[in-house]
Amino acid sequence: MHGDQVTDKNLCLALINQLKWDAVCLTSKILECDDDRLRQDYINILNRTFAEQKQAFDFAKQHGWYQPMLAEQTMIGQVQSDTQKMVNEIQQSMMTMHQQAQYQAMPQQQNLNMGQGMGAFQHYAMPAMGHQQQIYGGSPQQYYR
Amino acid sequence: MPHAKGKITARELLDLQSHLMLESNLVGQFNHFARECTDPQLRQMCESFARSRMDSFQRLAQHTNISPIQ
Repeated sequence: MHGDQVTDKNLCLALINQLKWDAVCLTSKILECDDDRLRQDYINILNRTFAEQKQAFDFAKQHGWYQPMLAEQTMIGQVQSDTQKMVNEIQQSMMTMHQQAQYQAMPQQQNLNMGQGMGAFQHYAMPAMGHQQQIYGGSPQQYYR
Repeated sequence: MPHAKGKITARELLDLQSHLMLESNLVGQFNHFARECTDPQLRQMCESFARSRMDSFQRLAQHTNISPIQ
């Protein structure tokens, strides 16, 4: 085969690249679409594009035309380390949010405790009988006797 | 189902036009690839993809209220 002749390999790789680009274009159109039917048509075409791209990729791989480079161990280790840092940051962030939520809930709790001296509010805030015991002293049975 | 007249947004219409052009180009390219390749399996795949792109084109063309190509 001549050097400048288009090979099956080049054609297959061009096929894969065209389908990849089509998938990118379809995705951006789906994201901007208002009409549900048009959106669904784009989605169906995108799914078909994914399947065709995979078919072309598998064909190229079978023929040894497309061999993705494997990641080196050092690179994997670096990504694992970076991911662990991100996990820690997320956990720290979640903990801060939890603490803030607890802090915001605290003044309400304090108001409820202060309201124990005001009988009218006490019924709304704490309907349990046990608190009446604290206000009036003794058991409810003693009070109503 | 095509859009009712005037119900398509400007963005959708521009996107639709550009995507119809893209699908149309893909039909031509994949047919060209099918003619150029030597592997029968690859040729069959290119022909199949060209038909699939044509089908996509016709499906999307319905949204412009244009009757499908015979």
